[in-house]
Amino acid sequence: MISSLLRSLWLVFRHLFRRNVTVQYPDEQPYLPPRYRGRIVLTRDPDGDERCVACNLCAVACPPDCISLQKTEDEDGRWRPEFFRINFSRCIMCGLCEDACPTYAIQLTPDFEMSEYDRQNMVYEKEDLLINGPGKYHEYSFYRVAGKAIAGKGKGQGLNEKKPVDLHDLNL
Amino acid sequence: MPATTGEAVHLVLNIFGILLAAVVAAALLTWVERRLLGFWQDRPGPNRVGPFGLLQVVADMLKLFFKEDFLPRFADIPVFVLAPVIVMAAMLLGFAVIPFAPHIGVIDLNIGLLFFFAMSAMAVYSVVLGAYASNNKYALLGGLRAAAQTVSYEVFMGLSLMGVVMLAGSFDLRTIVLAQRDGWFILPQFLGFAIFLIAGIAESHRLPFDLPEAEHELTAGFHTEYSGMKFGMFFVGEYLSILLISSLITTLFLGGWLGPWLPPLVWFLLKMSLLVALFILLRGALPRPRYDQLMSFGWKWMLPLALLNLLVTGGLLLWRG
Amino acid sequence: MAKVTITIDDREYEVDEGQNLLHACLGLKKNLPYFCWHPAMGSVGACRQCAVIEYMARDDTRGRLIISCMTPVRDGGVYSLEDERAQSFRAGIIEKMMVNHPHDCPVCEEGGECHLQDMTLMSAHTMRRYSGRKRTFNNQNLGPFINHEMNRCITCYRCVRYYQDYAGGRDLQALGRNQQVYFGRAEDGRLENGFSGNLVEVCPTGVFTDKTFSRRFVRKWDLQTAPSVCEHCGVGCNTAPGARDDGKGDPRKLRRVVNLYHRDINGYFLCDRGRFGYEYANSPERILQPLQADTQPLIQSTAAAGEKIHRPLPPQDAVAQLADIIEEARLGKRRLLGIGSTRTSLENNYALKTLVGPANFYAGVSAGTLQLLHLVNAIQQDPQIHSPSTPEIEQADAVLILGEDISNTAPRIALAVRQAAAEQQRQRARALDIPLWQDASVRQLDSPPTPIFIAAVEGTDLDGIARETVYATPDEIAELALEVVNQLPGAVTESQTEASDSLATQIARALASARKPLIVCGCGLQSPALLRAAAALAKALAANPVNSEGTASCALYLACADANSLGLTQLCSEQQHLEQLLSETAQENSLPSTLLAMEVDLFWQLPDEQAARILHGNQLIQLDSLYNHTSRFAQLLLPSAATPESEGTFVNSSGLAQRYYTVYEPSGYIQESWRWLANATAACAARAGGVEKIPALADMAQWQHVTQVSAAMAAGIPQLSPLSELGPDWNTLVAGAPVARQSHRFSGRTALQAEVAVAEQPPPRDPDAPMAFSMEGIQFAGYSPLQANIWAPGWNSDQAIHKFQNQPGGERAPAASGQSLRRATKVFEIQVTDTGVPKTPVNADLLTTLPLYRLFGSGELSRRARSIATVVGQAFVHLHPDDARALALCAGEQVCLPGSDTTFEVKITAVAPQRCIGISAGYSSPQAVVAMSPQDIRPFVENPQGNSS
Repeated sequence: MISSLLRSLWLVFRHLFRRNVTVQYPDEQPYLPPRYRGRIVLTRDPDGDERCVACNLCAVACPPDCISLQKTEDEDGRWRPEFFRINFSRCIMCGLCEDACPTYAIQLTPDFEMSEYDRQNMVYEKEDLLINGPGKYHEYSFYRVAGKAIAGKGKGQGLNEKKPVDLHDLNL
Repeated sequence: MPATTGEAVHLVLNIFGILLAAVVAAALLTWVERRLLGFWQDRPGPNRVGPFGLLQVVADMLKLFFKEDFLPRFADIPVFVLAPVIVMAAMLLGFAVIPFAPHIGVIDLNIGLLFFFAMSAMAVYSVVLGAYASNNKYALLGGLRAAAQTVSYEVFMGLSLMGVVMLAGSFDLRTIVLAQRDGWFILPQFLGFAIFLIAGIAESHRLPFDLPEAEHELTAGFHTEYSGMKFGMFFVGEYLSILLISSLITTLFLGGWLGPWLPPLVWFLLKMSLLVALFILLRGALPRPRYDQLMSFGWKWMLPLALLNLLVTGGLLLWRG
Repeated sequence: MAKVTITIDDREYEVDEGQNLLHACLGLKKNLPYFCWHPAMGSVGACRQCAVIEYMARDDTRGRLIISCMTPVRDGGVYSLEDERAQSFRAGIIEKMMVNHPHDCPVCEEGGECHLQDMTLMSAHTMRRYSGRKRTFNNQNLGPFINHEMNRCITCYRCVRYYQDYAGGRDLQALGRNQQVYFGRAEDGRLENGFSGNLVEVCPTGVFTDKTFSRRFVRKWDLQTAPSVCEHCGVGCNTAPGARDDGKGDPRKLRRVVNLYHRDINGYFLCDRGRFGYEYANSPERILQPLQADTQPLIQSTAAAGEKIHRPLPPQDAVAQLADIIEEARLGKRRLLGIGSTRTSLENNYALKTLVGPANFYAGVSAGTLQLLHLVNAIQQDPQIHSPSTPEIEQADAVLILGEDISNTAPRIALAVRQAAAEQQRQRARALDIPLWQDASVRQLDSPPTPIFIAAVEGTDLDGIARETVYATPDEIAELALEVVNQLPGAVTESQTEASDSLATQIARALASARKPLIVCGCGLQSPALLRAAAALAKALAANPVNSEGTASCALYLACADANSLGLTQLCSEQQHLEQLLSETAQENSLPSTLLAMEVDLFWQLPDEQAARILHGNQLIQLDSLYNHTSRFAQLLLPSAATPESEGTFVNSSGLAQRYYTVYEPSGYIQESWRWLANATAACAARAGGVEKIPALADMAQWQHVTQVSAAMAAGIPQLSPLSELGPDWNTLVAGAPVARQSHRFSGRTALQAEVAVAEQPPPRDPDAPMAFSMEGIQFAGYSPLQANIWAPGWNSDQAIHKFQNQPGGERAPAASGQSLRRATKVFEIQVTDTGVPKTPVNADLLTTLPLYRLFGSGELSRRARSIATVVGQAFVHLHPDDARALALCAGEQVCLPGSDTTFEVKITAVAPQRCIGISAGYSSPQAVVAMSPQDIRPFVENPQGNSS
């Protein structure tokens, strides 16, 4: 027993001469990979439209329930969030919202420097979250593959869709 | 009584010098401990306030001073306030008998060692009273553990030193230091040294024997309800006791100020610092035993060993005449 | 019922004989996927999704694949749901169905409560292998209620089976063939059937979705619900309204209403008025805070005499003002007269009655209506009369509808009567040993339809299933009923000999030979004679030994107009009506009078002129949810809670008391009417120096919980004593915990309110029921009848209800809501010869006025719902072509009627009695006269100055 205790002491003592593993943040900025789970953004599809269709899946997946939104439908037939709010003072950066998102709209970024003196400033609205780009997924556009018709894409014009059935056609 | 004015000045300088040095050293020790632990854990430790983070102590002190001095509604207020004062006072008084160098030291009592025992035994009152006055179950459990632990380890702490006393033939610490001119007592009394070291750790509630404040089980143990400077006093008290035990080991086993070339005080401080570093290394490396393990270790191993040491030392001395 | 023993996956079960295997499996709470089967519509075996393996015997290891919904349970039958082949077959079926299903779930209103999603997961089809092109369809605009998205269709045929076979609609068909079957109308347009909203729940996927819900859509799991009772007619259907706060104080919290299963009332279906009428609670005309009449002299405005302009008032000031008035009344310096309501709870009415005293309490209905309601109450007390439940109506084998247009006044009952049309077929099926769930087989049976006779004042939706329809005035209908009594076998009268083939004889023969005859009547036509005649007929039938399987009572359904018509009847005598109030206030009296009108629009109940006279010279304090015509005259307006915002008790037309629960906290300063009154009483007590100083109102001043009001009523009024057993007391936990209104997946808890304040507030407490406005508490509907969120693991859609029934289509577990009133049994004395049928007006020049009801338009609250308002249309009058010719009026012409500001569109229809004028009810104040001279009908002349009249 005593030898094991002494061995522990010796092993720990030897670390006096090891290099530090910690980084002197913020003097030194560490490298964060692109898939690091930091500040959440809402992205746009390649055509520049909001990707979020207000399906509410991120909100229900969120363990601390810090996402809230309201669906609205625009003239063009697209679903959009009327408001989209993330309370970052509750967010645990788990990334489940990104996993749940069926349209790649919600994505986590390698930015984590979000400290505020006033907690109220940690509440981000859609305007604060929306970025002008597609984020990590450059080509995906939900409405191109969805069956719902929107302005500029009628029934049967989506990816892998036949022309709408004409009921007056005898060759059904 | 000081015979001359010169002596009186010397005494006053000694008293206040040692008092100040002890307190400052204890405060500084908080930073030293964190830095050392940092190094042993491959990280820098507090390094941002002042050069090498040295002013961290000042920052912490400021913080403690400005924190709300919270008195729980349910506490026994007079006792609650008194408890941290006791530990600090007892520990500081303990320094009175330490002979740091030939002319440095407050007083040479012929019962110096017994005085130290008395003071270190006083410290347990502080813990028990503080825990009791907090009126908190975690604190009470911590206090109970502290009482039992201290009482148990005090027994062989005293016995372990009897060998040294027999070798030196005196309870006077200065005499004991001078008795080591021919060889430090750590060699003939290695067993006594080891037992005293262990007992000293237990007395100062340091890891691995910090069960009274085991934070994984008891929140913060006996000082759960303490905050602000009252907590600060407990905190400094603990570091004072490290210093005190280290000084005592230096005095009793490592020849005190004795050593070649360097001035005596430097030798003393050097030896003491190494012991302090050992204390910190123990914290960094060893796990905490269970409470029953602690007690059975004390009574079933340490006490018989201490008695054996006493027996053998006494026997040898008698045999040698 | 006989039991059989079957073995499913090596476990033995005892199940009822005669059911199909799918039904039995669901009854055993097993998870077996299905699509085309519906508990109310039986099996057709179209989708093949419920396939299982059946073994010949225990030692058979091969077995064969069967379709469980088409297979009757066999004693000793050995089945396997979990066999590898059955599972892979079901996975294959769902994969084929999903081939063309679009990638739409995120933008589909059904997502999250979709039977197709559930079944896909249950069948473990998780990856789409098909990479070819999907077929698509164009959608139709189906009106303001229903969304159409045909791409999502899986061709289960449930919609047309429900719409055509069950609800009798004709304008939704299956068009096309092959892979390309299209479920839709011939052309765009609103679905005509009044039960089209059920398509939302019947469709297993998102082809038909709720358009009103879609506007401010949230997922099912984000809605908070509680059991409620529909407030739009007297049937008392159970509903589960869903609400969600937007965190910013938007008062439009109510998002939708869905059916809440109650076997004896609404079963699986609601009418469209009940489903879409909820939007009145979100109306911009909601009163959100107390309003006070502005005392500033009016600048010239469009307001008529006596009308007031209102401005907001702090609630404590409003309570103080009300307390002032109560104080004055208590000291004898003021008369305080209360007007109760048929559309609010018993508790509210009782509080008002307690406050003003029984002598000063008046029912907010006309004398005629109150007389009818008391008549209904008296008839239902007769031991020979029996108010049928919906399943009983569906199983009637002969039906006579006397005047009441139930499709528009009690729609859910009309849907039940429609099911009775197939009762003869079902009886034949029983005789041939065909199980009733074999839907297609039963429908193909060659059997005469159930005899259904309709006597009406206009064409009704049920005419299509009627053997004979007669259009007549109420008095003529009453005479017809009496004639039927005379024609019943055993009745010896002089008229029996003549005209043996007359309608009355036919009806008498059909009713007399039926085992479960049903008479339907109601208050709609405002004719006491008709009600008496219906009672006389029912009593005569009850005495007929063939009938009623020896129970010596006859089923008589009497429809009342409002959700709590019969409840209010219990609280006031036959004299306490508005005309009595009018004569009371008209008397010379030195004391000033204050009218306390609670949730009643006098201009809805009375002709304009009478209503105006009641209000004239009296101070009016109104408590109501919507700003209405009466509100314009109010000195003080207090905002009352709508039904989904409050807890209370309704008594439906059958005398069943049901409690509804608060679904969501109302916005602004809205609170229940009784709370306003209790608050004012408490303020009054505080001023008097303690409750003991006002002994008459001492209890009321201390009311904190609605259950205290119920308990006081149950203790004080014998027939209302069941109120104490209706539901748990406000602090009595049902299963050791409160019931959670929010689902366990409720989202946004820490973000919803964050825009206003990031620190979370605790949820409000419910003072009236052991229920939480949060997700903490009982989540599983099996543990508490108060749980309205129907969800079970793996079953996110409304189909999960079978987990909470003792068997599919059975009683709701753990308990069904409702308690019958404990009314004393009293024989309703009636002489067949003297039923008070007045002879037809001698003056042949006069036109009898008939109220005509419409599903959308005749409901006081529902007609102000946003979507319903778009289809209500204009007020109209119906004329027989002969009368129209005599009056020289053409269809589409605009006319004015005496005493009314409204202009009416002339409609000419041959399916109407002659010498009558049918007037749309609810589009204007009721007419003052029972008959009007043709000269009173004046063509509408456009007034260049603006307003007519």
